[in-house]
Amino acid sequence: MIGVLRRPWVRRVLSNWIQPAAIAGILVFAVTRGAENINYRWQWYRVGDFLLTSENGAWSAGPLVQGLFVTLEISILSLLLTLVIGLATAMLRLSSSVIGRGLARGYLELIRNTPLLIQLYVMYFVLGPILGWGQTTTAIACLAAFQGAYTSEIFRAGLRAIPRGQVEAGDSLGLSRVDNYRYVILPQVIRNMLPPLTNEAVSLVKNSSIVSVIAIFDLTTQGRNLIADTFLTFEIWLTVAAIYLVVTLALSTAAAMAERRKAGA
Amino acid sequence: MSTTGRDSRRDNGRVGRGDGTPVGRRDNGRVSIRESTRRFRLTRLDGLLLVVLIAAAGWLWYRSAIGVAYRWDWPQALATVFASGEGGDTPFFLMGIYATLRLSVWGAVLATILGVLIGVGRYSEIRALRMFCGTYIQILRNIPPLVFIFIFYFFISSQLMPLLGLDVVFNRPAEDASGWQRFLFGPPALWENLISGVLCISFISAAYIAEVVRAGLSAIPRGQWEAGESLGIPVLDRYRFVILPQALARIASPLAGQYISLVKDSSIVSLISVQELTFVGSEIANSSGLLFEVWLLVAFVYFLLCLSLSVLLRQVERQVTRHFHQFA
Repeated sequence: MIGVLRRPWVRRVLSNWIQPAAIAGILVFAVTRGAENINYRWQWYRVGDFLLTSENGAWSAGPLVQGLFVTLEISILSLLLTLVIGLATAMLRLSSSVIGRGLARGYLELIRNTPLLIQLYVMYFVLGPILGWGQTTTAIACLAAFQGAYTSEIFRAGLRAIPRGQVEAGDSLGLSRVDNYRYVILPQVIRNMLPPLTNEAVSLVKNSSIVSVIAIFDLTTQGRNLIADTFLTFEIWLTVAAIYLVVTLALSTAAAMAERRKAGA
Repeated sequence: MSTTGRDSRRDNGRVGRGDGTPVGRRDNGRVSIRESTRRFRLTRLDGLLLVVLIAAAGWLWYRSAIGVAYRWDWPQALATVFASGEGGDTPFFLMGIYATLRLSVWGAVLATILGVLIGVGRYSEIRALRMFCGTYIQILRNIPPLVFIFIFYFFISSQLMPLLGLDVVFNRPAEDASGWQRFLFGPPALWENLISGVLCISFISAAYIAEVVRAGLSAIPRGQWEAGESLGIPVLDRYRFVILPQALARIASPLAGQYISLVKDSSIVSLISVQELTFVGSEIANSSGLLFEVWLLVAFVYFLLCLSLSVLLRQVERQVTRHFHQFA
């Protein structure tokens, strides 16, 4: 039993979860004491209703949980699009096409050198109306365009890490380019890339909070609206932060375990 | 489709032509055969992309000109943006750019100090301090910056300012500020505004810088620490003369990336009404109605800022790490 606790991945999970929880507890305590000084009236008992409400014995999701679902939905959809964009960009960068490389390079520089918020505003106020996109589409496209630039680096590293012999073997077996990618290269790339890709998912969940500025009812927006209604500023924000923390830490833990499995294999 | 293969050959070709280094590493025999097929495919992919590009551009033009019938008015937009305020003040837009620069500079200074302290704190002998620093990094990196900013802003305005007595300092009459104070910190009326922004972005950035510092320190072989210790060098000197020079070479590049991130992240403090470029941009865009032009302009200014910063930092990085390449 004690031996299990000593295993590296168990310790990583412990340090990922228990340690932050302990310190978060201390922080909450400090904030509580601080709030007492300004006569802040804590009403934690009201927070439960914002998570789950029960009416006549039937449970339904409260605003915060609904917001969490929207956040997850947007994150998952934009993650899928991110993978497409990231892979396409990485392939273009590694391609022999001059225009392809230029296009990828320009896209990367553009995304890397402007803030996400500005990209969102440009998409929402300029590109969205031109293309006739709604808020959700804009949000997903924006997050994916942003993350895709960073993910493409991971894909690029992943593609370059494949030994040349693999590519040549596929070539010499007469596989077409597409088949070579599909059956030989990508399966290997994806296995290597799972841990770093999980980090991209964490990053997407975090960044998705920014779409609250274009009135999408995600977790952050729901939190802001609740605060405007109830003035439970600390309770709601701390709950929202805790929910984000749980989601991102769960993903990080999954990444740690995936890495462990890879190392073990 | 031999991605890796084609790419390395491409690099070889470029390097070979560029500075004349001998680069024909491998498989010279096969290049000629595959070159021909590659050239054929190259034109096809290029052509395809060109067609897609032109189609996309055309469609965008069609949608904006006919679909939504937007009337671009760049002269008007530029005139609005660079119009000086009442009484010949600096144009609002330029003040926004200055504010973003001030925010970034002070944010970077504070974030570096905090980040280095926290990063080094991860190596402290005291377990509680190690845990605190680790948790700070963990939490700050795992909640959305936006949520942190909202929590922290409420905390600053209700607690920190009164606690430190800063609200008294900042509510002085504006005439008290000297010229250099105005230059460094902007108009006195916005000092409180500025410090909220600086605190927010530097607290976030510090977590990332701390992680960079931690990674840099962890890359230094144990023997270096032990050597310093066994020579009887005091802790501070050990850091200064043994560890720091080596760590710096490893830290410089990711640190530069963090500073650029900081400039970009500074845009989100516009949401707590810090009057920097994004805030100013949205004010101008909303009041003038020239949404397309103003937002594109704001994006362009950020692009220029970040791009020139990255060029500048690359120079600095080269200077700083010049002597240490042997360690890197």
